[in-house]
Amino acid sequence: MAAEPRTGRPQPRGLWRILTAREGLGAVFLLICALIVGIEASGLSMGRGRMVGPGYFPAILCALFVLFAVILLVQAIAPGRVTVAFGPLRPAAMMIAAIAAFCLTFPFLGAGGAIIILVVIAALAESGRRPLELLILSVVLVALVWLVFRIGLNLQLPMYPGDV
Amino acid sequence: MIENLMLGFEVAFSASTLLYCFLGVSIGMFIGVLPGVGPLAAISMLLPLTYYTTPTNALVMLAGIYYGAQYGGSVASILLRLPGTASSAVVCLDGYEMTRKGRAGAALFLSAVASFVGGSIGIILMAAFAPALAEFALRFGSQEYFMLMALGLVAASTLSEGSAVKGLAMVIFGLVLGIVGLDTISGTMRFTYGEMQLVDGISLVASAMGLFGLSEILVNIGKGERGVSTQKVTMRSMIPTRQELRDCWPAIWRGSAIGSFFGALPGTGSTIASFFSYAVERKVARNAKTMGQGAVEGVAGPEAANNSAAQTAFIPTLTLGVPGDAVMALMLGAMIVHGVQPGAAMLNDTPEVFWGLIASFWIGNLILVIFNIPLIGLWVSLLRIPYRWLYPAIVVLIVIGTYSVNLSVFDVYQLLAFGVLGWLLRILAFPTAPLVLGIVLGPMIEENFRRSLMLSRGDYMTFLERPISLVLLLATLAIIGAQLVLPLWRRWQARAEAGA
Repeated sequence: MAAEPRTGRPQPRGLWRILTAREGLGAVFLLICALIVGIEASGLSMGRGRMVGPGYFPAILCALFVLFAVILLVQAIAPGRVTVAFGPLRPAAMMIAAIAAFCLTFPFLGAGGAIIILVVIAALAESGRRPLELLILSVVLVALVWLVFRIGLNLQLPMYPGDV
Repeated sequence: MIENLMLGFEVAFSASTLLYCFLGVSIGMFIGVLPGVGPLAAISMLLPLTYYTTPTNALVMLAGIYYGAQYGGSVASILLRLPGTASSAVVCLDGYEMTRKGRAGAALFLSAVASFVGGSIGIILMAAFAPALAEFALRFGSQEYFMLMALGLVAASTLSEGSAVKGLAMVIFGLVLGIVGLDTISGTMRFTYGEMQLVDGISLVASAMGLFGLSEILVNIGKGERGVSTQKVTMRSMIPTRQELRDCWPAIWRGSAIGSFFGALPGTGSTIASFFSYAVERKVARNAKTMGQGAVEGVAGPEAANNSAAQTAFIPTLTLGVPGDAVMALMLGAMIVHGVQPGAAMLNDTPEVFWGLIASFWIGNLILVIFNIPLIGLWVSLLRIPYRWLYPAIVVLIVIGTYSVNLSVFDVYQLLAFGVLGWLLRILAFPTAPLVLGIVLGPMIEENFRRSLMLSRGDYMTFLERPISLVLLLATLAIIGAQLVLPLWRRWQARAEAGA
């Protein structure tokens, strides 16, 4: 997330200039929040002065989101803006996929199988893992979870299909 | 006070409480020593483990995790220059220099002693002042509580690192997340979108673990191995020289005083305390000239400040039920889960919990010094485990830990959502700590806001007419005003200097 270089490629213009600025993207994020909160609040009763309804507080929060978004937009246009940098996306995406796979397979496979799937997909986030290494890691982690949560905390954690 | 403390020690010295205290301190240190993992992440990850015991034991264990993680963070700072939190970042400066000079053992030992002394002073002040503050808080109505929470939220989000606007925006976001679920006053569902599992609101454990644990991994994964080379830390190397001891004592006292003061204020806490202490040492320490090159004062002062602030931060949390920072917000959330409602009533209704907690704070500090210093060598060897082995293990523990709280896969989905959210927010340079503060305080601040307006029949003047509420409002406005004026003043000064 380096400050924008003065020379080199031509400066982005217009809307694109705002969207590639860290503050600009932040403002967009806040506006999306404001929209979601605003839609929800509009469906709720505001109540009257004496009896404040469930929509009153969210409506105030929605207004504050808009206020902060405007301030960030001003900062995004101001000189000295910082461009947004996402870094390597693949490793993070693999990690997210690994946990999603855990959630999807856990009800069928139990903790044991789901943990192995999680570890294998998460390992794809970084290159150069040997299968043996993965096998050892998976077995150790399944054993650890079984010891800590099932035996130690006496939790109803299904370890394999049909367990508990 | 003595009588109350005796009651506390009676509770704290039961075998089970001692065991949980020891467990908390050790596990906290184990997690906290991992590079980049600070108290906030450690507490989030370990929160589920405390759900299986009595409220007193759970809180004692949590407090133990807090100190353990804090100290563990210092170990990583001193040995590797990889601070877990902002509050231990200062310790890097001189601590890591001491390591480079081969005095790692002494730096670790002195930081433990400074932490213990700082923590003890903080505890004494807490035992002395908490009852008086709780007594005062009995005069508070909804208006005062609303204003107090607003002050805490504004202070915590603007005084911490980064942009004040972004901090405030995250507090608002947190408040929105906090009010998800059933509105207890009107019985209406809000932000649930027909999902029955959201009726009780979003899960504190899932959100905290996602924001601080999982997002940390998403940010760091793929950045390659970090340079890990640690010295062997033997017991013998930990013995400080007489000169080092003599130099660091005054710094410890100064640090404790600074920390106790800043810790009790809403929003400031241990980060500002440790930075302030370091700034003071640079002016007054005997080795002021060698600060930054491995001066013991640069380790002892901030460490004492850090830990005394960690103690006095409990004063507003326990007596008013208003946390000053994200760690305290998690503590408060955990207390509520266990059916303990902090606040003025806690001291009167359940004195054994309150005083037991205070006594066990001290025991936790003591256990940290007595049992864990000999184990430093073991914790240090943890740092040699390659990150590629460590992160899958951490992810598995986070996922199973989240599932274990409600035995719910839905909570794991929440964890994933908050992990991605935290990752995105970090990329956009939004601070994530104010979010948790907002999530915990959301329902409370809204309830007090609505109750105030109901009592005044919709008249906003009620917040101005009550003197305590007015003072709190003025303090909040002063903080916001300072945030607006300071940048302009700095710019004006810079321009004046450039012109001269």
